[in-house]
Amino acid sequence: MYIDINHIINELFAYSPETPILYTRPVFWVLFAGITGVYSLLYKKNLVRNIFLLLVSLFIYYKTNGSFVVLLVFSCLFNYLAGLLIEKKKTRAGKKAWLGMAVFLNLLVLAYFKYAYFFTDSYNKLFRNDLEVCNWLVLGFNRLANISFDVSSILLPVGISFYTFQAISYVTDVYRQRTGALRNVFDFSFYLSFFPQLVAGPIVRASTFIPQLYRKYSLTKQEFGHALFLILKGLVKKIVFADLIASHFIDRVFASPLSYTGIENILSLYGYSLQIYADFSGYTDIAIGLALILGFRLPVNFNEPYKAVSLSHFWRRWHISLSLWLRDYLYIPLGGNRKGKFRTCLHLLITMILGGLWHGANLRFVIWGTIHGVFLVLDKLWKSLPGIRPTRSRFLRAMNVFITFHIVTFAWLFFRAKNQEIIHQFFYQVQHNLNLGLLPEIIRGYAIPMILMATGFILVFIPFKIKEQVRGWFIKSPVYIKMMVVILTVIILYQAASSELQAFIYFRF
Amino acid sequence: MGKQMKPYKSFLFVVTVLAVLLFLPLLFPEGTIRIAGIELRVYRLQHISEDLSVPAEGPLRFMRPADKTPREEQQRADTIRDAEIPEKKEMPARKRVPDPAPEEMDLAASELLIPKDLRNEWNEMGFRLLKAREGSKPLRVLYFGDSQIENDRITSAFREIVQQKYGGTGRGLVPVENIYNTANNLIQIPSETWETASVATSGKEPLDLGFLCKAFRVVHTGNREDSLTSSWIRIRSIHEQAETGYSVVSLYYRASGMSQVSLALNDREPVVKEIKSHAIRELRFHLGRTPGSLELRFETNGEITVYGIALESPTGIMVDNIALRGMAVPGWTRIDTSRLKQMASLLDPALVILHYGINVVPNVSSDYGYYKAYLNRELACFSRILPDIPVLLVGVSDMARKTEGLLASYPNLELILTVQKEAALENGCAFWNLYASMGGRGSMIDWVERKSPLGNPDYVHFTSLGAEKVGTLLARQVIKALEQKQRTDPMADVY
Repeated sequence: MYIDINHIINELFAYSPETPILYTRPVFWVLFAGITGVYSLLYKKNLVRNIFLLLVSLFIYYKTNGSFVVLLVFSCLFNYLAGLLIEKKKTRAGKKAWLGMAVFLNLLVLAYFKYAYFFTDSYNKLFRNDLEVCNWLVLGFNRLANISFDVSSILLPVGISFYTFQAISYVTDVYRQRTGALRNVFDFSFYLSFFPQLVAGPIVRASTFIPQLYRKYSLTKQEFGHALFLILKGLVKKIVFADLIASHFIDRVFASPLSYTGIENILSLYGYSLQIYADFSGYTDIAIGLALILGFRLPVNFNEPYKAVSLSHFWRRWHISLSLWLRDYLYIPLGGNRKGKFRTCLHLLITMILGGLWHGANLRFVIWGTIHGVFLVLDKLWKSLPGIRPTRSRFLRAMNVFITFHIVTFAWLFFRAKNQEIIHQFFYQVQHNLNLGLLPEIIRGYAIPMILMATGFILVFIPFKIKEQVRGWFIKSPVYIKMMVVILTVIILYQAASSELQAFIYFRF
Repeated sequence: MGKQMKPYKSFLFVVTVLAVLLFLPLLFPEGTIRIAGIELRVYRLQHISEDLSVPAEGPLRFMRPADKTPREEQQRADTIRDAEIPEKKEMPARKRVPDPAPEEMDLAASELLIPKDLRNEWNEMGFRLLKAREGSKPLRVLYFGDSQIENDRITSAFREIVQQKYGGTGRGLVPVENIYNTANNLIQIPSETWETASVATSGKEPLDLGFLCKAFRVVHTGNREDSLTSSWIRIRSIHEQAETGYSVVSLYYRASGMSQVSLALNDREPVVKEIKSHAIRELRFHLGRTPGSLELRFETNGEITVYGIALESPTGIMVDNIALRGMAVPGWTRIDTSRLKQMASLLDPALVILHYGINVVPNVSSDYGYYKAYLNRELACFSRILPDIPVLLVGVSDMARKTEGLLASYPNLELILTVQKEAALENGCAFWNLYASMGGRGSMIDWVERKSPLGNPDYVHFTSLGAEKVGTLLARQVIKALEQKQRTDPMADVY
């Protein structure tokens, strides 16, 4: 029962890479209680409120990523100045030059930290060379400060892809005069580093977020209920569906596909399809809920993506903030659909390949993006055929949903597999050791993950109306009911998080 | 517009929920409670306290800081980075355990335990291994195990080291099954006509099986004797440009009726051999070089039983991976002794390694007398079939489970290890304590949680990297033991 307060305080300000502050840990919620406590004293003065939330955001980022917080601060300062300079320039050419400079530098930082290994490996393969990555940044610091940190590796800062894209959208929007450059460096830094969405989105546009910086705090009871509902939904998605299925089944199969039958490999891919959705959308649900409690509205990022009837429909429902970013800052600048059918298809393909590369620096993500790009192109060509109209037949719509879901799920294989070898092993097992006859035995053997997967998919595919009814009931319920639901959910989450691991099951093949 | 809420109400809500959650477990006894037939685990304040702070050091036994694997980090989808650090977050915070390279594992704990009266057998083995390059056929290490060595894990690293030292190339004995072997760059695909009999699944004893504890049978299905039933096994490289290493294909078979086997190499004319024998026979095809692909085609109007195919070099040392998942012992006591003896006369074993135990661990008990009895019977059987061939028993590896939300090693591991060690020494076998070499209690958790994991997420099996470390360490320890014997034994001068 003894809690060592001194130890906790010491640990509070120490960076420990093994214990980042995550929404799934009690420590975050204790911290969040403190944040709301202080916030309730400061919320009336916008600037003070924004500075407080900025400091909290930087602290949380520091606890998650250590000294990379300096890079985030650099990004804040640089893009703040770039925004002012773009706005200040009178001529279009001058504005364009500063925009080009800002975008280039943002991408350079991203490329340095994220793609150094990918580019080096690709170069080595192409030219049969043996170049090694060197961390020039650390080398420079070493020389300047006469220190000797490791220069042989470049680590990836958490969330760099998100805040870099957010920064690019800001400078571009200032250039396009869709938003004015922020005068206050604290306001801009707060916009770029607001903790709920900093690490994994949604990517927030300046035009939708910046006006909120100057609005008075507002939160209705209904919105509070909605925020709580989103947070609970997100935690259940993450802890019950994503983590539990992954640790009991998916991670093991993908760690060693050859040890499992083909049908187990296929089931694990379906499982991953559910896991990644539950994981990613769960995270953004929590982020949106937290921001709302603090009085800020973040955009919806997922809208029942697995009910999409085509790939283009899917991308209007999956990671919406990224899809819109890619559309507005890549696809349309490339020419969009204004330059004929062939160029439209080419633009789509390029956008999706680069979108794939944005997700991770590996050929696997390029393949993933290419699969999506190719099917988006086919979808576009199919829709452009004369006489093709959206079907009203429920059966055909269901078939379209089925096909789209399976294309997306197949593509996830390239996303999840650790390397090309795992992909080969997956296909080998499916082709030569499928063992479909073992399916009933496998379902019995992996009862917990299978029940969770079935429940997860039922929840994914049940009509939106039913989900809305549940949400509506929760929002309207009295506060003590809400409290009881929250407590009950946390107890269930604890049961899930502490459940015993599924034993290894021997299915011969 | 709904009714506005002030932020302090959100604060009160969060604080009240936390307070209730903090004090709720005080109302219930520690452990589990049953509500409406459902068993619920009661969390303790300690769990939250542990989450708020980093606990005291766990079983840290390694020396250098955690591997930084930026390349792997960069190759992950960083959009779900946070999401991909799952299970560990729910566990009490743990201090990261540094990664050991094989040479940095607990070397003192890694020494082989070789009884004094085994000196002659080990000396003899050392002598034979040194001459392995000069023989007419390869020597063999028969490496038996459970799912821990499936897919050539551990054995591929072990093989690489001993083949570098004593010569030889090739994968060794393989069953007539689908094989996808990255370490040896091999894919093997058999036709669907083969029936498999295995010590793990077959019932009636004594079983007609060979060293692989399996046999593969094709029986003529037609009514007419002048018709033949065809079967095949195809073996090819995964990557065309890479070496697969074997230049001899040896077939261990029995055949009745009119039977023949042909070997077709790439585009060359097939070599056809008639086969007929009641006892197990060996048929060796010398290919001269490693083929890109080959096909063994079988035709019979009777029955052909294949006990194994060896993909090997003409000389040197072969390490045969004989993996049977779910087993606690190899099961030689269930196999027809005459068959094993026939195979022993055809093959040339130098060392037998038995690697079992993980299937015994989940049955937690305070008495493993039954397991010792199994081991004794098996080890006695080995010494009858392969007299004077040294046997090395590899003890169980560390493995963990989650109870009440906490991951911990099984409580019975030391007990099982004691039984294994006793059985080994009482039967004149050497023993290797893999559990101690890994770092002992809690080491599998550390192995799983590394940035480059050495253990799979089931906290039982090794990843390919972990298996490589174990195989490398074991090979080095075997070689070290042999070299020490030769240095210290006065008889070494005679060699």
